[in-house]
Amino acid sequence: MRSAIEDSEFNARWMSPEQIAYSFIPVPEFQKLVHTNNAILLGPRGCGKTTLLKMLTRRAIDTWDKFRKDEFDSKIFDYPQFETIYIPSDSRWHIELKHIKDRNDLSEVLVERIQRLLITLSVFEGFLDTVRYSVNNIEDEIQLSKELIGHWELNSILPRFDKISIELLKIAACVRGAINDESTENIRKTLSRFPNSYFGHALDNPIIICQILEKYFKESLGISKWAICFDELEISPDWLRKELLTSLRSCDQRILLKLTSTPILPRDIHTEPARDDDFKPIRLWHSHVVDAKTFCEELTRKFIKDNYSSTNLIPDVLLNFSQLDNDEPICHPKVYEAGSPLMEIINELVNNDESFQELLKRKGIDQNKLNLKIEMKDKFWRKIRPFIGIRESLKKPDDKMRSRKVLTVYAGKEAIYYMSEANPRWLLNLLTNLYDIWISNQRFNEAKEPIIPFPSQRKVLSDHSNNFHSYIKTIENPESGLFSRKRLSDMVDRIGEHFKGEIHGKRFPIDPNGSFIVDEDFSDDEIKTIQLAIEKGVFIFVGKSRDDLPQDIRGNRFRLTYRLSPKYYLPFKNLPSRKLSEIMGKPEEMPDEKQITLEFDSKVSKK
Amino acid sequence: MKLTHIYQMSVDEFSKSDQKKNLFLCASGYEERSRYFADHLEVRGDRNVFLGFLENKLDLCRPENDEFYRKNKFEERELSGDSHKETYKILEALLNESDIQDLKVTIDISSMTRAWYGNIIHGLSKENRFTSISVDILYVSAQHEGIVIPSEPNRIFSPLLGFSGLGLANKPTALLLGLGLDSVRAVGIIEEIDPKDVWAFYTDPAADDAVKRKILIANDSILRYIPLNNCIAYPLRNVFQSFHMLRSLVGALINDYRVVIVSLGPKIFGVSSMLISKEFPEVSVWRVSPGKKTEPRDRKPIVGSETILRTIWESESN
Repeated sequence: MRSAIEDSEFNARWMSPEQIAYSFIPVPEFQKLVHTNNAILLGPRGCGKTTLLKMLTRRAIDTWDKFRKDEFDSKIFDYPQFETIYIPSDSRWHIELKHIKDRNDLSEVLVERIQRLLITLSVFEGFLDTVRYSVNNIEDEIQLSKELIGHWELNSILPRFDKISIELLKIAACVRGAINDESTENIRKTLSRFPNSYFGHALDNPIIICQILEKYFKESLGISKWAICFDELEISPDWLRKELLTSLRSCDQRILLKLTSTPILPRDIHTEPARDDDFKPIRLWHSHVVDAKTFCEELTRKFIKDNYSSTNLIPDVLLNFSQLDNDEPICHPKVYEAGSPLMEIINELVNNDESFQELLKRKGIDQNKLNLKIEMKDKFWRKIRPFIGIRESLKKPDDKMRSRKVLTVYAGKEAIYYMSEANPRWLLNLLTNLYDIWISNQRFNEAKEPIIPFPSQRKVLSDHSNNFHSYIKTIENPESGLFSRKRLSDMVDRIGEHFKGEIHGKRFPIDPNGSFIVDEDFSDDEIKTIQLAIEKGVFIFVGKSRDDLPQDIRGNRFRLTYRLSPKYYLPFKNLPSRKLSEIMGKPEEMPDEKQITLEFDSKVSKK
Repeated sequence: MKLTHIYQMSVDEFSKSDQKKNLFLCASGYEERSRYFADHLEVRGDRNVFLGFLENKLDLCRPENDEFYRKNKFEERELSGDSHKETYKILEALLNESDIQDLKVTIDISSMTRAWYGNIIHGLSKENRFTSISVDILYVSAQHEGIVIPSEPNRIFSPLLGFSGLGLANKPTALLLGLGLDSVRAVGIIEEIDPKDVWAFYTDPAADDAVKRKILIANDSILRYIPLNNCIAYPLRNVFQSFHMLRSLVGALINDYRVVIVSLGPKIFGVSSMLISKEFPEVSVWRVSPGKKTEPRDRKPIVGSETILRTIWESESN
């Protein structure tokens, strides 16, 4: 269940910039972000967008420079040549902003005015947070406070940053009171008390504040550009998203925008020509997790160092190697040792599985002259290797074809890295779950180093997968109706079961499908369901290259997240694709909600 | 109005109380427990009104409930279970017809939706026509035997109208979650709200031991990973105590967190959270539910599990 609860423990949103800097693992994407240009960080939740934005702030960079820089032999990334303003927000806040309109009695204009006011206050708070750190003498604080108080028309307060903050909170409380009031007139009256500048374009205030602060920052810090970081753009109000995306093309030259969004480029901008001149899209997810293996390894090493008392402990020892490291050209040599679970299973297959024997025959391989240590390096064997263990793992204990040795597929450090999708929050979450298991039943190897046995790892990975699946059941596409093609959980189950069938069918698979292309057969409502899945990290875009970005959902290739691999007994591997419409069938072929409920009820009544 | 007193009464105390009831408001839904207080305890006021759901009008016990109320000359009003605003409007219209200064209202929330009783509590807190209002909130637990709650997506997922804690996102969120039988819903809430910390409340003692066990089993995957100190058992029948447990936790958190309370469990926990939100306006109370697509199930009352909470509201100008 840590997928839900403990994820928050590693949520950068609640970490100070200093904490971010202390735990930061440099990634190539950060170097792209420090360039003096507009940028959009794209990726599902938890992929590290907020971490990278907060790492741009002066507080984080100073901490890095002072405490972390020397850990590396050479310069890992350039320091930003701009002052970063992080505008505080979170998903709860955005949900609340959107639901102001639930009252039904408020016009769209009035709802937008409330949203604009609250976002303006957040922008003010973001700037105050920055100056509070950078301005460290009282005369400057008083001088800047006076100017801000004048511009923000906050009367009768002492010119100190803290006093301004309190005043902003008072205004927010006032707005809250109005929102909770039954009377629309009261809301209007409340809003009319604040200056018109509070309701302007999203960047009006940042531009003016930068002008106010420019003199101080240029003289004392040599900074003349400002990066304004707006997080969670995908769930922010439509008007805010539109204004910010439009501003990527033309904005005050002193202002840079650093935005975050889902893996799909926001619709409002992706058709614009000369995109790279306006902004840099930075992709933060990995179609092939093997690309981020180094990052996973470093983060795991850091976690181990911070949590386990054993000084030289490394992931290889604590977690061991996965018995089926699918994307590696060659597995760890131990996997091929005579008597290893994998070799045992292959021997069983060669001797007992007719479909496997046929397969060998078709490939011209003489089963009587197999030298597996050599054969395993062959492309054919590498290709089928992931399916061998996974098919075995689903066999029942009384299955005659089942090997006497048990191959633990979902365990080992590589399996953990794949399950995390190289998403730092998910990886830390898994590592913490594993640590909890270890601390409650401490196991050591002969060298007295901590180890976590495979069965314990498998349990953690399996729980993680099941809980993510539970979460999917709670996600709803507002447009979904009775037919299941629009319901995310049904769509995911259909896809997962389909791929499971391809791998675990009667015949040994040689080229099973494991990804899908969203074809034209899907309605706009169904596409919204797929988009939801992409935003939540359920479907992962598989591009042609590491930098490939999806411009649209239709026509593109996706796979199920590896978080669901244990749920459907799937490998951690990008497999060939099939049209999604062929997997899903026509809408009328799907059972509707009522049928599902009746089936469920009949099972209950039998009990 | 400002909430000044809150205390719990036994059924005996309530029955023998000579306090006049200007108005008795209850609901008619498809559950048998809808009419429990009106039928078995014969609760009546000067005026008696039942709110009928627009939905599921012919399902399960609904026809019997309607018939009972009509036979006993209750006035009838009808509204949607999702209606956030009409409940208090109905109450307000009834109150407009009297010139009482010290109002005494009795409300049976057993079969009401959160939107309904939330709107009543919110409406009362905004009242300014009375010197004082005494509101007796009645609740009877339902039998859960054999009930398996199928997981449905969270179609309604937002602050209850009148209980928004919207301000600035300047502090992390603390989620106070009243656990129910549907653990999947709880997982979804935690993922979507993305809190920094979670406190889970579960009933112990519950309406019966089987319910307590079911709640703990259903929420095992959540409770396993919430720090032990954040898992709080509250006595279902002792609302006074559970109200103060929740209130003191909110008081301790409010300076460092933006507090959100979501109740998936007994309605009486939801009532406590709403009352607390009226004392701490920055506390947000959220409604999370599958909406209209819930399968109707008859929930029979557990005799002896009645809970009665008297709340006194006084004019702030006093």
